[in-house]
Amino acid sequence: MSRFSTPAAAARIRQRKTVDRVFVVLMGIAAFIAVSLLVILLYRIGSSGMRYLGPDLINEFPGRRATGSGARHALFGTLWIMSLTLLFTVPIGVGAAIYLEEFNRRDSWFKRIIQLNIANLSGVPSIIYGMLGLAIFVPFVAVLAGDARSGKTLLAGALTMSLLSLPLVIMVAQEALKAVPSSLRDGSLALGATRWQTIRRVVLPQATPGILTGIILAASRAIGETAPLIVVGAAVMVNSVPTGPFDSYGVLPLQVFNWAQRPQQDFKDLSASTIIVLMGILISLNAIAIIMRMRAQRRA
Amino acid sequence: MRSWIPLCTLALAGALLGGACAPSAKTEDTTGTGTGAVATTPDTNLTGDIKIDGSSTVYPIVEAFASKDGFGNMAPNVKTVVNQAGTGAGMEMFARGEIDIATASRPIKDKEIEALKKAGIEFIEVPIAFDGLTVVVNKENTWAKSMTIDDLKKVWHKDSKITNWKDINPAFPDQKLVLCGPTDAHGTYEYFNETVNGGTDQGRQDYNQFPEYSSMVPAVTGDKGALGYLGLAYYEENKDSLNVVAIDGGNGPVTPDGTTVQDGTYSPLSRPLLIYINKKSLERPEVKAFVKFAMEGGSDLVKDTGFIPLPADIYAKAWERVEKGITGAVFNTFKPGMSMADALSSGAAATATK
Repeated sequence: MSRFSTPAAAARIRQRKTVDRVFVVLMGIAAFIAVSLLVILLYRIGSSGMRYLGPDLINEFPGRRATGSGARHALFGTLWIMSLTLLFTVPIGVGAAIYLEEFNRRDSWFKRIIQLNIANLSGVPSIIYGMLGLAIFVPFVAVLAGDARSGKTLLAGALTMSLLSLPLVIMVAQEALKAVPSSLRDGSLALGATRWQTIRRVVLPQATPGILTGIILAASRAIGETAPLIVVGAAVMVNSVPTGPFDSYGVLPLQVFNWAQRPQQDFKDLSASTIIVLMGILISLNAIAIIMRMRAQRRA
Repeated sequence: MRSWIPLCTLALAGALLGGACAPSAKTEDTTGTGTGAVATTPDTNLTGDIKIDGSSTVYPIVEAFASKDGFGNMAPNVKTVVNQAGTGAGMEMFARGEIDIATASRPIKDKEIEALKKAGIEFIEVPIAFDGLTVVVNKENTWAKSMTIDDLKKVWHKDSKITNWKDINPAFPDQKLVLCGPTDAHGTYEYFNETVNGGTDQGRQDYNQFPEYSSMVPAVTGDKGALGYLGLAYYEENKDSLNVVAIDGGNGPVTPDGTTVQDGTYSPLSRPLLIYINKKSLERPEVKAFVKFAMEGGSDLVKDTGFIPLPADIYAKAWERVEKGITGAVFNTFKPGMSMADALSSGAAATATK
């Protein structure tokens, strides 16, 4: 009792409370800086981007003037890249995760090497993937299409993006599989189900929301990345929408960059409008991911 | 309890995408888009694709050609792909047969001609527009109304130690000199140093280097002692915030504008922008139609993008080269100040006598 009533103790408590308050203020400032930067950015894009935000932006191709110009080719190019990337990434990524988590559960040296590689790959700068794509996929696609002019097309871009987003999908899918309680597996196996039956009917349904989250994150990464696509030949200007995997393509971030560096202010504003479209796609993808995660949490 | 997070994100996403779809209140008239482009009925029989890559300086011009305001409207079923990897990179792709047309902000180099020969690719060279390198200073700079090429060399040569305006010309005030220019990745840099300093590697390196012109303009407007150079289109766009320096190439000071660049009096800092067409690609009707469009109906689009169209007779001479299939380079020996008509005809004559 008496320990707390001495003047020295009271002073110590006051001091601790002051430190506490100072830190609350400091953290508040940090949070404020982060948020205000975002708000300033959004405001600037919004204020200059509203002018050209209209149906033209998604219905029209680039023209010589900002008015009436659109990024239809880039929008569709982005969607194509995203779809093809998912087509390649999902089976391989989920398959790899299932193998690592379900069929190779023991901590073998083989698994450790693969795991280490995947972790390293996810940290490789994206431009490196671009160089890899240029060296391997572009000639490969050119041979596949039988035309030197067809190397730098959608397929090469999507393969490069798949390589880039694969580590992310594998790691998120692995986490999702890990989160499935092993009692469920044991129960299923005890009832006489085979390993594959257990995975397909018990483990995968449980892990689906988590896996889907990973897939959507990978998709949004494939949309936002530009550097590797520039290397493997995304075009700045295409006057049509791609109709197949051997078509030339443009992507939204590249169109943003192209218009932003024009001397005319009109094109800079148009660039801001395109940013809004790109952000709209990205944020809706992330929203879907958040919803899925929350639904999964509620069920668990 | 945290269900408002996805709701908010969805609402935000919806607002953003919805905004893109909603009809916008545009203040500008859209009717202006149609003027100038050649009134030709769309030719839907033309199909196939045209691949173009190369100079980022030439890019806006070719983009306008390919767009719906130009060739895209004339031949809606032709897929035109335009990129801007840079003149040098474009030439490499051209030699690998990956593209049909290479664009260039400088004439083709001997080693590039060599590479094309090795690959068995024949090409036709035609000019599509002029660009005038424009020397600019700060709005408050009242002294540098005109400069000679020697003045520029005194400043920009690699041996130059000048850091003050008064060292260029004693009549200039005592004002610290701040140099601004594009990085050496630009064709503009190469052309400036070749013309002013006598070689692409003869330029001074201790200047403020800008990868993009749009960031260079504020640097010049922000410093009273600034001196920089850029493409005419960028000056025209920023006329209100920059002062132009008239260039004295030996016949008195001349300021760059549409007329002086086109008639060659703004010399030697005006340059032709070129395209190189793969002769084999030219056998495809869509490629030929595209080049024809550039030569016959492109001048308004060139003007729109801030560059200077060639005189009509030069376009006619250039198209003649294409029609006759005259291969080889003539602009690699082209010196600023030379007559372009003579250059084009001389090349034609040389091939004709062969």
